[in-house]
This record gives sequence, C-alpha cells and structure tokens, in this order.
Amino acid sequence: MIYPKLPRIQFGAERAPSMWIDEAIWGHRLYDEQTPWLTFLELLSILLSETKQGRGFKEVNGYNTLSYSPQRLLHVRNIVFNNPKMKKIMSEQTSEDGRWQTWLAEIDKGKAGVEIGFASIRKSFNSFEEFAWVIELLRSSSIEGTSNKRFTSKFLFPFGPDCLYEDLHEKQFTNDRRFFARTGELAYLMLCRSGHGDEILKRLQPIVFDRTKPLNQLVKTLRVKEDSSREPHEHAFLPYADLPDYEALAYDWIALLTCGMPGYDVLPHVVTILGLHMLLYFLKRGREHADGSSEMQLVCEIIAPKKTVVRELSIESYQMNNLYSTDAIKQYIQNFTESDEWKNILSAGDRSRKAAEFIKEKFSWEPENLSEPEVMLRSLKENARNRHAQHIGKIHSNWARPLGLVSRRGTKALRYAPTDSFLKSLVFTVVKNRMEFQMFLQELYMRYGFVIGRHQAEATSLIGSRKGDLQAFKENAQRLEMRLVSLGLLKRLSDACAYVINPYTSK
Amino acid sequence: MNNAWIKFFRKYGPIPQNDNMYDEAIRRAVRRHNIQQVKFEAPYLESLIKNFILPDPASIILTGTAGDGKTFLCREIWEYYGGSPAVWNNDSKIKQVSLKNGRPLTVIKDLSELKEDEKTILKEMANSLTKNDGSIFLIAANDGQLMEAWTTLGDSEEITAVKSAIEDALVLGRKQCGDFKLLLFNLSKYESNKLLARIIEGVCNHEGWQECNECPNAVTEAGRSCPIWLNLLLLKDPIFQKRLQNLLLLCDYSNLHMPIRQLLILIANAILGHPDTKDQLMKCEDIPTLIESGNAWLGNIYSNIFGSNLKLRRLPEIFETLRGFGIGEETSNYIDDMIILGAENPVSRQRDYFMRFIASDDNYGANDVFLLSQSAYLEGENEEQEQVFLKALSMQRQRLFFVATEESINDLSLWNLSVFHYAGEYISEVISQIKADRRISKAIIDRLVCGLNRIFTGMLTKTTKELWLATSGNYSQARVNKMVEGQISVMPRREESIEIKKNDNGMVELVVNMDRGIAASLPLHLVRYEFLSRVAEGALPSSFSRECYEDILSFKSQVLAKYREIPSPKPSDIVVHFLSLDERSHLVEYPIYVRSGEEAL
Repeated sequence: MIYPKLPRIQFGAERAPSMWIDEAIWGHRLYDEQTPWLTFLELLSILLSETKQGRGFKEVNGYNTLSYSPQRLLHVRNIVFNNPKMKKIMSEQTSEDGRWQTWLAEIDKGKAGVEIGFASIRKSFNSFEEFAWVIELLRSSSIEGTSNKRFTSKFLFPFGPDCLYEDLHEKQFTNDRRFFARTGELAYLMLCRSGHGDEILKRLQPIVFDRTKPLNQLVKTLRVKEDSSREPHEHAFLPYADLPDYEALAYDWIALLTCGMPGYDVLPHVVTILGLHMLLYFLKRGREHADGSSEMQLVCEIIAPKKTVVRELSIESYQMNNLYSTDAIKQYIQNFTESDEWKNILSAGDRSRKAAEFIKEKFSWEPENLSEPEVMLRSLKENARNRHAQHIGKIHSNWARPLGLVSRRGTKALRYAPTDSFLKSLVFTVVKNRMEFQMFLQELYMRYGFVIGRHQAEATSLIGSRKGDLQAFKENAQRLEMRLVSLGLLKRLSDACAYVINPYTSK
Repeated sequence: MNNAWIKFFRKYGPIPQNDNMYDEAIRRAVRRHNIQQVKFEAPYLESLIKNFILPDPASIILTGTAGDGKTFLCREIWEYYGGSPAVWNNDSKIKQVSLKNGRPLTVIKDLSELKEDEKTILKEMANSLTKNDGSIFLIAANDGQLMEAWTTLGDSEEITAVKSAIEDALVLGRKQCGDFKLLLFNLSKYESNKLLARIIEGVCNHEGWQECNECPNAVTEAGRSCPIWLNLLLLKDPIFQKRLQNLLLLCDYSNLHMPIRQLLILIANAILGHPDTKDQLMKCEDIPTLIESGNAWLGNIYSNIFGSNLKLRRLPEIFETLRGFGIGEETSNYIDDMIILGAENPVSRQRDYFMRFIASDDNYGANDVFLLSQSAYLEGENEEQEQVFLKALSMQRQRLFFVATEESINDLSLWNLSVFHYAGEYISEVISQIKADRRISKAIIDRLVCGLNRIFTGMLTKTTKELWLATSGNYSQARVNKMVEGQISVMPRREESIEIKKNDNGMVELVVNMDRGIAASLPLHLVRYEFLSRVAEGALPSSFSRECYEDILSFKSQVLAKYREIPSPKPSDIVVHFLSLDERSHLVEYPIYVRSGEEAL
C-alpha cells in the first residue's frame, strides 16, 4: 500500500524544484552525493539550531514547517581547512615571532568569507608548534578532511556544538545544496515524527552538544562571533506523517546510544544505521509506488571464497531492488493518466492547453512547447526518468557501498555482501546483552529484510525449495558465525548452540 | 596372533562404524563378545549420586556436547536405583524410577527424542519447579536442543522464568539455575586433561592386552617390532602422557572442550593408527605385512596423535584441534640443526640431544629410512630424497615434542615446536600458579601490560608501569591514538592495579582495577596470552593476527567505558593531553594548555 501523503509545500518562484515527482514520493529531498556522514552532520546542525529555539525534534508549527539557521563558523574553517602551509612554516622559520608572522601573512592572503583577522589566536597558545599540533589533530579527525572537496565542504568531527556548521559555496558562501542537499532535513523530520525525539535528544546531547568537552572547547577558542542575521532555511518536505520506519530508526538509535560505548565511539555506528534506514526508506517507498508492496528482501552473501548459489541470488536481489525506484516514477505518472480527469481532458475541446495545465498542477512541470497531450506526456515521462537517473536513482548503489552493505568483491556485478564494520554496527544495534544466533538471523530479517540463513531463505519467494539452495544458505550462515567469532562477537557453546554477544552490554 | 580385544578396541577409533562411541552399542557388544569395555571413572557420576541420596534432592539437567557421556550417566543412575535394563531399552522416552526415599525420579535420557506432545513434560517441570512441589527430574540434552526445546514451549511466566535461569547458567557457566531447585551440570565444563589421564589408564590397564605378551612381534628390535605393541609401550611413558595432557590442558583453559568420545578416538588412533591399512587402523592380521614392507614405523604414535595417518574427508574434531598447535610444522633453527646435522653436528650440546632423543630409538627415531634420507639430504643428492627427508624431519619434530625430558624443555625452547611459543610458560607460570592460588610473577604482568599499551596506543612503547588509555580524539579503536584519556597504575595505587587471577569459573583472567571498585576483565586464554606476549616482543599487532587485534581493541573500549564511569573534576583551563614517546620508548604525556578567547559567544 502507499501511505497517505501530506499536502505539498509552497515555494517562492525561483526556489521551486523543476518537477514534483521524486519529491512527491521521497520528499524534498534525497540526494545520492550526500553520504550518510554528511546527512548526519546536516541533521546535527539543524538539531542544534532547533534546540536553541527549544524545539529540538519537534515540529511545533505543524508538518513540514521546519525553519532553522545553522552556524557557519567560517573563521574556524579557514584555520583548519584553508591553511595548508603550517608544516612548511614550522620547518622554515625557527623563531616563534617569525613563525606567527609568516603564518598570519599567509592566512590573511588566502582567507575566504571572513572579515576579522587571525592575530588574536596567538594569545591562546604557548607556542606556534603546539598550535600546529592542535590543528593537525582537528584536521586528521575531520570528516571529508582529506578529500579534495572545496574547503567549505570539509567538516570538523562533531566534538561538540562549536564544531557544527553548514556546507557552503566556496565563493558566495551560501548554501548551494551541494553536499547538504536536505537529506539531513528528511532524517531530522523522520525522528521528529518517530515519537521518540525527546529520548534521542537526551541521549545525543551529552555526546555532541556538550560545550565542556575538551576538544569542543579547543575549537571554541578558534571561533569569533558571527553575524547570525540570516534568512532561515525552509522548505524541507517529508511526505508522510507517519511511517513504521520512523520509529524503527529511533528504536535502533536508542539501542546504540544506550549501549554504553565510550565517548564518540558510538557515532560511526549511529551514522551507519542512519544510512541503512535512509536506504530502506528509499527502497520501500520505491517498491510501494511500483507494485504496492512494502516488503524488502536483501539477500546477503557472507563473502565466500568461491561462487555460490547465495552469491547469484544476492546479485539477483540487488538488481531487482535496484529497479523499483525507476518503476515507481513510471507508475506514479501512470496513476494520474489513468484518472478520469486526464481522460476528460483528452476528449475536451481545448485539450492541449488543459493537458499542459494538468501536468503543471500535478507534476510542477511545464513542457517547452504546447503540443498534443500524448506528446507532452511522453516528454514528461522522459524528463522524469532522466532527472531520476541523475541522482536519486543512484542512491541504492552510492549509499550502500560506503555503508559497507554492498560490494563488488570477486564479481563484476554489485551484490549485498556486508563488511565487518557493517556487521559490527548491526550487532551493537540489534543485540542487547546476548542473542541466540538463529534468533539474530531472524531479527535481521524482520527488521531490515536481510536474508542470510536457511529459515529466512525459506520464507522468501526468491529461492525454490531445492535442497542445495537451502544448504547454501546454511553455509552462508555458518560463514557469518565464523566472521562474528573473529570479531569477538559470538560465543559458541557447542556445535549446536551459539550466542551473539554485544560486548558493551553483556554481563 | 589374533587378539579379539584389539578388534573390539578398534571400534573406538575414527572409523565410520565407531559403534563403541555410543553407550547403547557398547552395552550390546559387551554382551555379545564377552569383552570388557574401557573402564574409567565418569565425571559427575559421584556428584549425581550424592544429590539424589539427599532427603530433598534437586532436579538435574545434564548438558554438553555430543559424546560427553550424558546417556551413560543417565543409565548409571537408572541402574543405581534398580531400574531394569529391559525398561531402559524399551521405546518409552520418559522413564520413572524410585529413589531411596520412595520419591519418583523422572528420567529423560535425550530430550531431542521426545515427540512434540511429549515435550509438555517440560511444562510440568516448569510448574513443579515454580511451586517447588518436590517432583524430581533428570534430563539430558545437548545445549542447543535444550534451549530450542524451551523456546518452542511458548512464553508462560513459569516457562520464561525457568528458561532464562537455565540460559543464564549455561552462558555464564554456573551450576545453580536461578532460585529454582535445579542444577545444571554442563559436562563440557569438565577438564578434558583430567579425563584423558583416566582414559589412558583405563586403556593401558585393560586385560585384553595380556594376550599380546604371547605374540612373537612383541619385541623392540628395530624393524621387527609390532607398532601396536610399541605404541602401547610408549603411551605408558609418563613424559609422553604429561606432554599430551598439557596440550589438552591448554585447550581446557581456552574453552576448547574435548568430549569423552573424542578422547577415546584419540587414544584408539594413537595406538592403532597406520596410513597403509584399512580405515587407517591396524588389526593384528596387518602386522606381518607391515613389518615385511619396512613401513611399520609409519604407524608411530607421535604422528597418530595428530591424525596424520587418516585419510578422512573431515577429521574428527580432536585432531583438528591438536593440529591447531602446528606441531611438526613449526620449529626453530636450533632444533632443526640438531635433527638435521645429527651425529655429525660440531656443536656438542646439539649432538648430545640428538643422541639422547633421536638416535636412542631405532624404531621411530633414527631408523634406517631416516638416516638414509638424512645423509642424502645433507649431500644434496636429489629432490625426491629431499621431500622424503622433509617429511621425516616433520615427524621427528612431532616425536621430539613428546620425548624431550622436562629439564631440557627450556634449553631446547621446546614450545617453539608449536605456534604458541609462550605455551610452556602459560602452563607453568600462569595455570599452575592460579590453581595453587599463588601470585603471577611481575615480569609476566609487565610483559602483558607492555603488549596492551602497544595495542591501546599504537606506539612502540616499553612502558610497563601503567596502562595508558588513549584515543585518536574521536575514536578509541583507531590504529594510532595520541590523545590521552588517562592511565592506570599496574602496581597497587589507591584502588588501581592490574592483576592476573582466577575467575568464578576457575579460568584465568586479567583484571584492570580502577578507583571506586570499578574493574574490567579480560579472560586470558592461550591465544590472547601468546598475542600480547608476541606484541610485547616486537610483533606488529594488526599484521600478526587481525582477529586478536580486534579482540584486544574491543577490550580497550570496555576499559575506557569503565574508566569514564569514574567522576573526574572539570579542569578550569582547556588542556589537551598529547601522548608521545621519550628517548627510552616510554609513554609520556604532553599537555597543551589553551587559553580561551575573551569574547563571549
């Protein structure tokens, strides 16, 4: 079934998306180049802004009314990410004064987007060398810090509230939605509607919003006061008021945030699980619109040394899931053209103009020229398909790979083949204290649709009941057992009995 | 000669019809052939009897792996209380016998044999345990079936409570199940090395061997000796027994349990194994041909112990486990020089060892085949001979492991013949000390702490006075960690200390004690002990063993989580503690003070 949709939001003329099809199905908007980490950082910068207003994880003005003003912190970002010559200055200059002066001259020359100078920083540090160490530490722990992205798209690790800011254009210093493309807004709204926003805020606060954490304080010393009188960001749109997926995400996050991992260690897992849920959201809405079912099955190969039945089925299931979103677009348009309204238009006198109006109203799209309704419809379909293929259609592959869910190892085609770090995140999320291994497999199937063992395979329509196939799944599960043993996450009592252990919560 | 006992004993070995591995089959065979089975004291039998003669006995669940002797114990109890063999052998799966006090004991010798409708008996059991109405049960099941049976019963309050009590006892290695009058005997917790000693004794003392004394092949003369007879003789050697027991001891302390059935397979194969016979197990009829062929020595006990004679597609578990020690494949230059150069060795000490440990045995040691291939190898004659010698060399290493005398162990670094160089030390300086409630030497703790510090920080340090906790700033599991979180004194200071001690299950653990009674502990089995020692010695953690590396990192994160439970005052200045090494490779802290900017934000 397709869940009921909330009313479309209103845009100013110059801001509206060029078409309203992807957005109608998935929201405004999912974007393939915004990796799970960047989604999480966008979410945090929204949450910080909203928490300051006393409405963290709450849509107080009604659905899809989010309006927030993220921090920019360009001064800090210049120092950490637009300041490449510190090592050179350290080796070329020997005197303390010489180092500071050269550095100030360098950074003044290259600074971007800031008015205030950097001279006052020297007062905070005992020596230039210590200053250089600290900057190196911040840089080495950053997100995308070593990528060749523009300096305004590199991010400090979220040590605390003074490390959170938005992605910006490197010349205009406006949010051009390049990497903070609103996927974080959708994730934020999902949690708002999960029914557990307060609890999550309470659990996240001591990790990412604690001002007194040493590294946050350190970044704070690099900050200067910034002009906050900007127009707030608006027009986030999550189409569904209520989905079971929202609570599932919240439930998983709470499990992770309460399992007692030290310090920031939990964050990579939080990001992975967020990415997984966003991916499932994408796949499920796609399938619902394509064939009406919300069921997702992802056959996972626990990587085997050679080709197996599971590998083939895993490739098949990946490819099948990959088609849903494109089918969804097609079906979405189809549904409108099967309506009486459209049929009436076709038989009306002024059919071209009426059809153009209809298309404009339903899909926010204007054909280049007024022509026959069928021609315009064809053009709409083609444009919609192309637009979808550019970014949203790539989400499945572009997100699943950095998550560690999908791989090409040993094959030409992509398939579900989880990595160790992905498996770890699953164990920490799903297992509280300990869980019998078969139950663990079943839980992964129930929550995420992962098909790993024979019982899960039997429950799907993907495989015949051929004995060999079931045996292959049995061996697949055995490989998972071995992997978990090697990660210290499985305790085998005998050949008949094994428990998956969460080392953080188990007694 | 044709000894009927040997034919019977053969069935204990790794053959497809190893009938003697099942209590039911042994009873039948004993009746039919009038041969006594191998007798040894079964673990827990005495405790079981002691329980059931109490005025108010507890119900008992016997669990363990296949081949642990569950059925045997049930039958012994059945017969002890006068249950008839006929009833025992009939088809009913739930049987009753009267205890001495007249109360009925319900016996289920194998839970997995129950039909669905019969499983309701577990519901009755849960109810009667909850009400404590005095009904008594003795149930045997392997651990997987046990938990599965309870899971399928539904989730009434009684069942859930009993199930989770059993599960706790099972996973945490406890005997008492919650507050119920119910004990769980996990046969897999019994020390295999102790059992092995009893089995060897039972086998060696079996009356069936007496017939062998009459046999013309019962001689030690080189090349004329019956390998079965010779192997039995060598099995009686206390040094051999001790070395083998030590291997099992190491398994026991690494939670690798070997059930009775596997130990019987091991000993039967040790005596009867030969690669050139049917099922690779010798019968009396094979002996003359083997002696004639000059290959009798291939059935030597030292190779048989590792199942080298077997051509099975899947080796029995015991051999897989023992092969895990790598004995035969691992070596040191010193030992290989000693074996290869032999009697011609210019180093007198090595030559002496060769004469004492290799040349002294012309059946399995320096026999003709060995000597011939050795000289061919030394003279570099041909590749074929070289292969023969390399195989013989590997067999000599295996043999040496079992014959070298106690006082030569250190000088030879005998454990270098296994993948665990520190195994000998682990036995003598850790397990033995723990068993005797004695302290572990400071040098050992220092070494382990050094290993932990190298893994925790990612730096090549020699620090042993404190355990350092560091992260990369945002991640504790990073390869290199340069931000100090804190340090814990190894020698007792306030409540801090690091010690190695016995845990509740009698196993070895390394405990990091912190202030306020907070502690984190690491079960210190052989693999971890070896890993930490090797890292302290200079091995690179992640390249030596990724599995162990992950394992210790996960411990680090537990220590850190505990450490952060200790409240600490917030410093007034911003201080970031960087970690570095001083010129002697000791970890030192380098605090960087940062003055906060004046502007209010």
